[in-house]
Amino acid sequence: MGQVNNTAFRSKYNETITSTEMNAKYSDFQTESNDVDNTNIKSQGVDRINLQGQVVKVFKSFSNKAATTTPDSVYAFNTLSGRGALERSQHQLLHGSGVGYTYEFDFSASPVTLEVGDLIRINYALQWWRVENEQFDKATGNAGTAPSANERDYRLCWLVTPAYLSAAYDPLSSFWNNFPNKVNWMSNYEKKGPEANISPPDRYQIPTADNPVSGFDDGILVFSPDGYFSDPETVHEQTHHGVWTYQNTSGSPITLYKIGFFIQGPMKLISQIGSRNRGFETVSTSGLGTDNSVQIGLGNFHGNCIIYSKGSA
Amino acid sequence: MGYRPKQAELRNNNIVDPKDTDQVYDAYVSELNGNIDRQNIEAGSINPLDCAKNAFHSYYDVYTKMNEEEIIDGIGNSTTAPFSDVPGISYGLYSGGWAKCALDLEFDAIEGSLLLEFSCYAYNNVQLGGGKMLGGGGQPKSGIWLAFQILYNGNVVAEIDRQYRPFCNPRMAAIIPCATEKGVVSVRWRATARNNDTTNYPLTNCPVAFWSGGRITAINKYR
Repeated sequence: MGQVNNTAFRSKYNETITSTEMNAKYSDFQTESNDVDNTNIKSQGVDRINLQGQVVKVFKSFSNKAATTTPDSVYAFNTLSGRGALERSQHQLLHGSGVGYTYEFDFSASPVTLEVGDLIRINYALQWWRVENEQFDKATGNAGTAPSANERDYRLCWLVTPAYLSAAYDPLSSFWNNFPNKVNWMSNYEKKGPEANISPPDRYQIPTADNPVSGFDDGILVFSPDGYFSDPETVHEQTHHGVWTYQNTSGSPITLYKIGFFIQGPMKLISQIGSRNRGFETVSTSGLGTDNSVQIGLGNFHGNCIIYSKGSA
Repeated sequence: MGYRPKQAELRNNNIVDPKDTDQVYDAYVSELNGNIDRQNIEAGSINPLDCAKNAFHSYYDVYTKMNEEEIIDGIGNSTTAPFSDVPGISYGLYSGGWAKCALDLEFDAIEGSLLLEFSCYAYNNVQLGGGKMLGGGGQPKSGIWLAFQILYNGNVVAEIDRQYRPFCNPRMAAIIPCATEKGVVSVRWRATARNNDTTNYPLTNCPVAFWSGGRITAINKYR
């Protein structure tokens, strides 16, 4: 709004101030007082007490609590054979939608628009259990028999990434989106169900430049049992605590219906050689047979999400 | 509030003096023309989304990683060496000590507090042969580790102790006071140094370590 322009009454002997003149002044004041903006407010004049609620746009959380009537409902994911479609520990969906429980941030009732510049922060805790203790052989891709006979593949890991839905969830047609400007960790989730004899291997490229502008590989959780063999020195279960932050710098608003989390593995870290880029590669399962090795079988997951608004443009 | 005007008392048939009128009216005008503050505004009356961006806090983040000159792809003395196809530290340019990432987070801080946070994923070959490039088989051993620090304008404000895991997700955070100043948040990392005796312990026998996917975040809340 503009400022109130005020001209003083000139001081004259016996000058009469008319009602018209006074009314005009008060009309100006009334007009401008209905259009207050930052030009009227003192610098740092607005305090938190003047605000409605918080400056946080959205706060959401989910715990590991699940429907007790659903089999294996206490876990966020379960690759045991009892869960038919997930016999193998690859491309698992760390998400229970459709089976009575969800491990996701669900904004479906009131979708959130992540404007350009808004910031998401997700604090999470993931706990996993290794179910089998078989060794994974680097050379053959098969379960090994003895450490001395087969080299353990030290590069193996499991990888968890976030993704989002930009429309209401449909179990038959929903397509999860990778967050913009990140490595497209969801590019291989178009395949349905477990994978075997992958050819060519599914690969994800990570940045190899000092100042990349896209294809960022942050915002993921990577873990391993410290070896894939029956040895008391390996890890059988572990809990990870961490935080993911994402600021929308894509140039366009993003509509959030859900934020879900996806696990895949075993993956292996690979270097840049020839035409192969540095990054992660899914491990061939040829020759593994029906008994899974290297199986991360069970897991719990919970987290909370805060979305900060950038404010008005 | 800049001024608390008093109630003028007018009586019928008074000739109102212009100066008195101006003085009172000017006080109201002065109040509206840039002196409104928390005392004028009703508590809980402003929607935060109506505030200008960065009105109460601001946040910044940047991607960071190991400098490319410190990375070597394909370590080992042959294409079939155990570590020939994994990225790691180039010991031609790194031999121990704190290394600073080239990618910093720079912004204009406003007096108040800063939440500084760093996270990434990291890898080292701790489990085989003591984590060396050469080797294979044997019992997993300690000996190879990664450590990180966050620096704010050159001062260490957070630090992670040595991480001995093949894959891990280092994360550290700190809340510090800040003045209205130029802020630069940096990350430094450190790994097991190579053996100085490169004759008996050639560079190919050095530890293998690598990290990437770093994100530095700063949330500045004003005083």
